[in-house]
Amino acid sequence: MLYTNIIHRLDAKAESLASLRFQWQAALTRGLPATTLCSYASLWEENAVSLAREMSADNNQELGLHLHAFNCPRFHEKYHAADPGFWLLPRATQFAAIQEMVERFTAVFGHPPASIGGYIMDATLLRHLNETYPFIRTAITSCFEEGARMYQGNNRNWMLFSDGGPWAPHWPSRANALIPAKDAEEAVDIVALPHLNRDMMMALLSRDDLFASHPGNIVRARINQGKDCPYYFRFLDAWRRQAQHNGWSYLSFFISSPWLSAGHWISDHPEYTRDMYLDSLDWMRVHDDISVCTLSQFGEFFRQEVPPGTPHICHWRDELRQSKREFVWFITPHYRAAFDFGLGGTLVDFRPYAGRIDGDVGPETACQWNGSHPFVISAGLRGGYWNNGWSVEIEANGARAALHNDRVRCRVERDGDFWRVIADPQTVRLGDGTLTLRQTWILDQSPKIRVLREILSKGNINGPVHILDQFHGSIGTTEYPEDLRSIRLHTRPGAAEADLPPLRARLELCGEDSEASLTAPTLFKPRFTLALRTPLSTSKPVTVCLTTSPLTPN
Amino acid sequence: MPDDLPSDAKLICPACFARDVDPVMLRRDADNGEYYCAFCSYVANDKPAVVQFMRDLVQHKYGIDRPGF
Repeated sequence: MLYTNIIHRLDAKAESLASLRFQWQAALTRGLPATTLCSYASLWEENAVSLAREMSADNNQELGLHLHAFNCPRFHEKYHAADPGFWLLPRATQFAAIQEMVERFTAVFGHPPASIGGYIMDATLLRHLNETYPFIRTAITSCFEEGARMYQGNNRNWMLFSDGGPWAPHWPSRANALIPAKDAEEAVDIVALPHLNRDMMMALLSRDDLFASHPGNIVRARINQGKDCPYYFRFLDAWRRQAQHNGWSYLSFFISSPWLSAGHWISDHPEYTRDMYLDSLDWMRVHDDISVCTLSQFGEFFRQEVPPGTPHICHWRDELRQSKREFVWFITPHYRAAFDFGLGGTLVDFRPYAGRIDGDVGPETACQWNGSHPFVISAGLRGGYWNNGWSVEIEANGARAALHNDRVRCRVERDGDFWRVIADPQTVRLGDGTLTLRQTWILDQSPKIRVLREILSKGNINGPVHILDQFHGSIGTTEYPEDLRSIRLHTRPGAAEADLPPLRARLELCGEDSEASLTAPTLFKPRFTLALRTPLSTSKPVTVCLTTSPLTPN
Repeated sequence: MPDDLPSDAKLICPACFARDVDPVMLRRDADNGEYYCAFCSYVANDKPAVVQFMRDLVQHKYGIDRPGF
């Protein structure tokens, strides 16, 4: 089942209210539940409150709060704050503003809010909400993969960095809201949702905010043809398919009303956005495997069915260009990983969570503006997998062949508590010979990524065959190198290890009968390499594991 | 000039070029001959499509017609 939230925002301006009425009526006439989140300024605007009261009479409507629209005279006079981004305000201002909003909401509507939305809600803010306002049980807490690439694309006008977290609903850790909690004890008791669904290929290769569950963003990307956009509906269907791998899937359809209004700063044809908006609602109605619900209804489903610690997988095809390129994303409380099967299954993004490092943002924090969880691998931000990635070569007959030179398809199979990602066989030429092998990734709740390699056939291969794994890692959240001098590299029989003090994490690459080697970073090549050379026979598959663990201080 | 590059020259990804990324050579699929970039999302059915994309881009960016791409 694909659980879908239709989400609106209550704003203060008259044209926005007219568009919100259009959105509400569109959902109402189709019998679809929706959630309207009230922004700060709207709670004191008579026309806005009047519309919200009218909407609240509709049993299919949930009203909640949205941490937005602080750039208004009331807020400036009361808090003397310059930052319009709530996530960047001083903590005391955040807490006071939320209290004011909750009290006003309760006074106006006669009940407290059960759901709330924000662009970044960090761990301290979520813990505060949970302890102070336990009736708030569901929250929009982050914008998936908004970081350095988004910043480059927005003329430096949108200061939001939240790379490296979940794309799907999760239980946030009390330590860092981007990290899924491993159990109920670690979790903040609030169901955390993404602001929008994003294209899981473009999230790695480009800006993903143009390719999202948001018709206005589609028009902004100029990939619509009038009111039609076949890509957009392929994108939506891709989220339906994810339910096959996880048992459920989630779609956030959160379009604030200015995107549907004339005069939007970038959407030059609001009529196209409106038509696509209506088509989206019709798409939701015609499929039996879509359940449209309110934020709180989804939150209660999640509480019942998805315990903390549950991993999540996404198998994504190239919906934009419809090429053969495929990606697999996987997230657990231990790490987040993305594999590019356009590069033979190369690991192109990797974030170890073992150290539970701080991710709070704001003027009193160490991170300041940067809420992104650091990567150890980001092929996109560090110039390609050849700089940052886990890639594989085969060695035989005195020759080498790279598995990342070929595109392969893959399939995802679930078997109880683990998933197999099985790549199509690859045939490589090695001198005068050829060798066909297959790679299978085993992904589960553990902190290990296991990769099985098996020879399916070989011709004119004389002598031993070896697999060469190379894990090129670094630490960062942007393109630029950071200080890697604290990193310590070790080998022991069959394993290469990296201690990463800034992440409070250790990585281990180990294999069966493997020879391990290391390469230290330099200023010109600011990356470390963990390498394994592993014998591969036709008699049985060999396994190589990448393991993350907390780094214990000496 | 038409013979600026030999006919079997590797093709630079025009989308990376558009973003001012240093040359990323396109790869070609073994089974359907599709060109694709290992760095970004660029895909093309055939070589003339890549050449035309690059030619149009250079014309647009720099006002130079390069029929030999």
